[in-house]
Amino acid sequence: MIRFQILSFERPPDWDCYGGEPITSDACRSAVAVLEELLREVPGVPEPRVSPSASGAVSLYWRAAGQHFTLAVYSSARLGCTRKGTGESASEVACTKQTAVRHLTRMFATTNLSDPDAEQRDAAPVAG
Amino acid sequence: MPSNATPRRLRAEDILCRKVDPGQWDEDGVLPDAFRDRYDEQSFYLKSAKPPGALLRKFASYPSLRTRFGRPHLDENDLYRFGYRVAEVNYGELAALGCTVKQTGAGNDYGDDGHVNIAGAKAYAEEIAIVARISPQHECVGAG
Repeated sequence: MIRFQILSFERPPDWDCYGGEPITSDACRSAVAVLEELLREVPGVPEPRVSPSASGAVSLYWRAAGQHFTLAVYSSARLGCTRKGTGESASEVACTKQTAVRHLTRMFATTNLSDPDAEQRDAAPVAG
Repeated sequence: MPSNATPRRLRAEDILCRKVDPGQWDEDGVLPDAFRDRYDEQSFYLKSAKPPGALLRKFASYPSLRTRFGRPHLDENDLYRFGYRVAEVNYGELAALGCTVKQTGAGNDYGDDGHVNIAGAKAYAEEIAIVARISPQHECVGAG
């Protein structure tokens, strides 16, 4: 069901009446593929809430215990993530699928990571 | 406009409305993306000046939406049927998060049509989505 929902998020330019970036079919297909990998690789992670983003991405959004994590899928080669606690301000940074796996593991799995600083090495500001 | 006119100020209990696009709401409510766009400030409308039906009607007149749906004419009923909704949030809830009003050139919090520019909404989209309510159907459609 969620896969069909994501595939319906293809959008033309200015789809939100505020100059929103187009969302391509490639972004939608990539979001489905990334989601399927995350659900397979992170034990206990629930299905996210999903939505079209004005930045041209498909958003996969998880919320648990005051933590918010959004994975923005622009294409198979471009991901962005935003992680924040309730009441905090945060900006999207470029990330990899492995970074997302680590964030989600922290949010939803009971085992600790052996390399908790690895995500800092992966993260870099999103260009443009 | 006389210079001594009383400035229009928002009160904490004032309800602000924002259009929600298809896919940006679900059975659990509004999603954070509904409060993000490319601009630094996000557009809301004072509900008492532009209720949900009138807000959808305003967007129904946008050429980009008429083109997208291949219709020479759209109204609020069409947009609701296509999955558009309206989110409501109290101004006080936005202010408590640290969001601020960008005043109009005349120094008012909102324009003649009830339009309000809110700065900071994008940074707190997740929190706003938690407190936002979706306007009931009877307030969105059939207003004429």
